[in-house]
Amino acid sequence: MKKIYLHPLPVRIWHWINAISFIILIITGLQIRLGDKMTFMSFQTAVKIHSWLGFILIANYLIWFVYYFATLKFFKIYLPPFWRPIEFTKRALRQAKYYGYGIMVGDKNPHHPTPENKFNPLQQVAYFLIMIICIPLQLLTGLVLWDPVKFKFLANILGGIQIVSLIHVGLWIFFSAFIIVHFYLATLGHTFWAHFIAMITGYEEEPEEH
Amino acid sequence: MKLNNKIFYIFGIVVFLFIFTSFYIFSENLTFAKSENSCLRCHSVKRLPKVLLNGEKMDLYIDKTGFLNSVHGSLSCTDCHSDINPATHPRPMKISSKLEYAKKVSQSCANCHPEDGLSPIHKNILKEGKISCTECHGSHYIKPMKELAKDADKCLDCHSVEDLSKDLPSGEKMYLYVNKEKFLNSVHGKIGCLFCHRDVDPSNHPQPVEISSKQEYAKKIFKNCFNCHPLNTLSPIHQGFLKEDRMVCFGCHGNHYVKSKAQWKEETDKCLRCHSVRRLPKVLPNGEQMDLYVDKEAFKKTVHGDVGCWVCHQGIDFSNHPRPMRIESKRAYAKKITAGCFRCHPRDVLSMHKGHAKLIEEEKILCIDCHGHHKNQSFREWKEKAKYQEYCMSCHKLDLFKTLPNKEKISLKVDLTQLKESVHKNFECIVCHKDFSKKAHPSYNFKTRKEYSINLSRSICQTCHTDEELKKNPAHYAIAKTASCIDCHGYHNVKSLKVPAGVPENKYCMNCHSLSLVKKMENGEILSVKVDEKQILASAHKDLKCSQCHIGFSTKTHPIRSFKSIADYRSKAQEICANCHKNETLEYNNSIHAKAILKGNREAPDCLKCHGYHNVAKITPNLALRYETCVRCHDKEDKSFKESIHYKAYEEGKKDAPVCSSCHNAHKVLPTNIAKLNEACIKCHKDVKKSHNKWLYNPPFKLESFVDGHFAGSTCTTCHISGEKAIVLTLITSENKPLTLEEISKLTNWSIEEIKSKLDSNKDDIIQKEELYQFLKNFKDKEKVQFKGRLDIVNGNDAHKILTKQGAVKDCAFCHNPEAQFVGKLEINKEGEKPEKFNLEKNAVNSVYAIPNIKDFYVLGLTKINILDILFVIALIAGAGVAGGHIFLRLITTPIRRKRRGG
Repeated sequence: MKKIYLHPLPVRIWHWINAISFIILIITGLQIRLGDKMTFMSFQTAVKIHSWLGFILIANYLIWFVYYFATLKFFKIYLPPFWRPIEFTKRALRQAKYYGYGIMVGDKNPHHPTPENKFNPLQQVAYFLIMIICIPLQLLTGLVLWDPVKFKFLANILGGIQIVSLIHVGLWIFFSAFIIVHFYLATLGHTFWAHFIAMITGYEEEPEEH
Repeated sequence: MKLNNKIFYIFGIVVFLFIFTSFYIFSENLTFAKSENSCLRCHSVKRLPKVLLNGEKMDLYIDKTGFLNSVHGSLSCTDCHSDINPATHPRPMKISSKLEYAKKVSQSCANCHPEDGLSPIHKNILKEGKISCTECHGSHYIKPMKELAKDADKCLDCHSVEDLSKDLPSGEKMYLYVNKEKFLNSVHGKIGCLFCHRDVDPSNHPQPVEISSKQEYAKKIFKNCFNCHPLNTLSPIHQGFLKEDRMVCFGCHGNHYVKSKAQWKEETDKCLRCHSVRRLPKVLPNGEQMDLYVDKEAFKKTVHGDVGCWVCHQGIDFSNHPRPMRIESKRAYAKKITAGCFRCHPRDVLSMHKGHAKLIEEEKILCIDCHGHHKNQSFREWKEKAKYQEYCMSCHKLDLFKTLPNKEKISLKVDLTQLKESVHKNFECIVCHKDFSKKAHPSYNFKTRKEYSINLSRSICQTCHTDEELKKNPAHYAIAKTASCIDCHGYHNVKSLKVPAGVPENKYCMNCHSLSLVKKMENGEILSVKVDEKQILASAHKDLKCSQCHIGFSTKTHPIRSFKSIADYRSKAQEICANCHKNETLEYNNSIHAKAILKGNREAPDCLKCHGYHNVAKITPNLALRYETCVRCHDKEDKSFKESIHYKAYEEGKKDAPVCSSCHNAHKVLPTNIAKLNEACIKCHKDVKKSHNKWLYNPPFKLESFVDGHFAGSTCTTCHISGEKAIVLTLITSENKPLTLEEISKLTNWSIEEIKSKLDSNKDDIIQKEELYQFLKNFKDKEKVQFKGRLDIVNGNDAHKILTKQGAVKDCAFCHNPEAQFVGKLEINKEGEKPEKFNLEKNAVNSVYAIPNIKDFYVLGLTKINILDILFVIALIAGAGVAGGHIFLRLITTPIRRKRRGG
């Protein structure tokens, strides 16, 4: 077993801030939405927390953005190789087969994460979409909902505040589902807690190649 | 025959002849005794009646002693009864009646008593020819007149007893007392009692006599007056009232103490001896001074000059005058005395003159008011001599009234001083009142005062002031056609209305317009054009000239305009206001008030209704007036307003307190859906954004745009008033303009009623979300429609009930909650009117169809799309399911992996 330094510190900080924020955002978002059914806190409090975290998340995203783009690591890690589509597709399918079948029968993960190649193809696609589309959209729609007058231009681009709300709620649904799956998939490491520890310490234990 | 027989016969005849002749010769000398003896021999037999042709029984009995004791006792019967020849008496004599026979016999009275030698009283009687001498003097027992007086003494022996009275069945006490001396001094003193009291037979008096009442007895006795004083010999004044037993003579003449004319005059002089002393006043209890002076000469000249004072002043007798007499007032005394006028001048005779009849009936004006009392002259004389003014004024100086059929009263009193001060001062009455004269006094039959004045103005005024003359002033002419001259000019006090040159314009106008002028509209409505100058002088326009508003009018021009109705007139009035108040008029013309007038709403206000016209007040600084002007009509809104804190500020007298026009504008009053009333709040509450921002912000930054967002999605009232609130969806086009019912009607070819029924297809008075979105399908292809949303109050009037700061909504959850207390309303605009609002299911905003249709309205929590909550749950389940499924699969494939590893 060798230890690979997969997750640099900024990434780890970013991730956990994200994680906690997401959870609280989801809960407060739920409170905002279901004021009649949930009484954890008042609407006002929910909005306050949600707004603060929203901005924290925006700042957070910027950290991620700056880190990955300044270091150009983004292009290596997150960007799926569109220029080699067939090869990528093959690999993706192979990964999918592993998760759907191979992992049951004791196959080895076809993907070996390295600092240069952290994500398996599926992860790549998923995280790419999330980081480049979903989260920005959510942040932007969140901004619009935060102050619809100031960000009216944004709302207009997106097609009106109803659409904005739809996107925001839709993404909220997606993220809620995603967190469950993400959380579960995180347990599919070497050990149950392997990926969790890696996300905290930065080091992932990889079996050595014979 | 033998010779001695012949001689015997001849001798017998001669002796017989001798006796016969001697009887005949000597009968002349023995006639008296003979005829006396012989007449009375038969005629002193009682019960010797002759039945006459008319059935009367003429008694032929003569009382011998009585006759012999009478003045004619020494005459022979045939001196009077010249028709009887004793030689041929009795023989059948045709006598038709006693009276006829008495007349016949009385003719022989004149043989000894020629008419000239008789006393004057006989003249009238004999002229009449109705009464024969025997009726008064008797026939056979005529006593000398002196004897009659003695007879009187006999009667008076008893009747001069003071308390001699007779009780009558009528309850009256008839006094039988006669003052001997007075009676003997009276004109009848010589003729005794029986000439009048013919019913009394001295030989069997007193006798129980049936007298039912004094009046009846008096009437009976006084019939006898005519025996000596026949009616047609009396002066004309007697004619009227002596007819039909109206009066009895003693009313004026007395009964036992009848005065002669000379005596009357003497008595009158006696009265006047004192009463012709000037300054002989009597002070009455009410303080009045009644002058008792009578101008002797003047009185003597009057028609009553020889009537005698006591005829009118009944009850005043020398025996009891002067003595303390209680007179309440001059008028009361006059009333008492003039009641007596009717005794000689009976009411029904006077009432034959129409003017008189009314006066007598009304009893307000006494005889003496017109006729005077001591100084009256013969009316006839005066009437002929008097000038018209004097003649007419004799009645018209009094408070006369004419009552018209409609109960109005016209005063006929003429104030002569007014007339003398008028332009007509030199006119006699009949110059205007042409159909009146001393002989003619017509009565008009107008039904109302107005009729009276219009008709008389026409017939009287326009005789001199002709149409041609009036036409010179067109305004005047127009008025003159509808109003009566006297309404403006008066009648007896007409003054010249020539306006002096150089008079200020306003004074000129007010000359006429201070009077009750009216203008008639084409539709018959009547408008008063009377101007209250006081109002103008107290108004904001007090320094203006009339012509500054009423353009086209001046001291030289007065156009006559015609208007269809008062509403038409008023609408043109706006043009006057617009001359100076251009902006306000423009603003007003765009307002809901102006539109209401165009629609024909009679209650809608125009410039005049709010501001008045002549009494325009300076309204801007006057908060109370501004408030009152609107509240005059909008009392429902006033009621709500009174519940607000704004009203409290007004009540407390705060100078900047808002009233209606503060928010709604004074002139540019728009329908509330387009009035942008939020801006009205901000007009005063200028820092409203800042103050809201203090607590209304999303952290981490305080942005005013956040407040804007709330202002855009709701109205101030949503949080600041108490009342029912709603989510209001307004139908708009893609250009963000309201889509009206009329436009929908055009798009769908439905009538507005059809549209309404299609909206609520199940007719439960509320539009369900399915109905709403289904409805849109009908024209969505033709017009891209959308819903604009806002939170608002349901009842517009509640907007006035502004709460205190503490009462306002500050809890976000008031709105941002799926269960927030809002109803749903669908608002569709109408052209030129307030929009129509329909009940809408609140959850229409939570439907998935809201996404494409309500693009720009979203309230966190309240308008969330419900289906997404379900999706969320599904997503969670799916996520958990994937994980769970995967775990499960891994679990069940554990042996495979174990095998692989172990193997």
